Amino acid sequence: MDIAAIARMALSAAKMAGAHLPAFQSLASQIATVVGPGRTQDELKSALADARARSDQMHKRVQDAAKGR
Amino acid sequence: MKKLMLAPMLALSLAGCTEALSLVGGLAGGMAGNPATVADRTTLDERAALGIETGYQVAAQLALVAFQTGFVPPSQDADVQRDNFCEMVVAGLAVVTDRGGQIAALDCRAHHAVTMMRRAYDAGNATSFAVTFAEARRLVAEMTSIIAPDGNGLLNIGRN
Repeated sequence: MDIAAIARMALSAAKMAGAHLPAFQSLASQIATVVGPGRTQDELKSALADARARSDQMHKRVQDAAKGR
Repeated sequence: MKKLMLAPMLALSLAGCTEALSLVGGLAGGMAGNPATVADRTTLDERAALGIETGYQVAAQLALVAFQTGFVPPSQDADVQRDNFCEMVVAGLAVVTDRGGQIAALDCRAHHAVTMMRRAYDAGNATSFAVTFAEARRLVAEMTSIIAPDGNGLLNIGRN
């Protein structure tokens, strides 16, 4: 494997990692909601509803990825 | 209804799990002995459920990174390709042989456990909420540990 091929692989990996950053930022925000003070029950219930929808989406994406789709 | 859920929730052992879930555990432990935070106790069930959902999403996101970066190739197992794969996993009927299939099966079990916890929460059943919370927490932790069992992250995924 030559240097150019290695560089292309590194670039590809960096792009791939970058594509996941928004998802991890969203998760960090969600964790802050869990542990943060001053949240009302209604606010937490709303966050929980959003989190459920995101979990279901993630589940579908993992299953699709495992199937190679 | 939420107050009914409090006692079994606090009785749960919340030690040792994913970081997000540990945060929830620490929160619950701190609130149990602090009279000043009694008013916040009514939000404990929501925070616990939200912690499980978040923990699941962290594990699923790590699995996605593993698949999409090629650390784990898509499964070649026939059962994984079936539309009812997760139902088969929950029923104990699915056969998985490769790493991709193992992660997919664990994702099925974890998501199923999260779904059971949601039903218990929605029904306001304190006992089943405590049980399903513990099971969901265990499976989410297991799913995460498969991906990062010793702190070396994704490098562990491809190892058999």
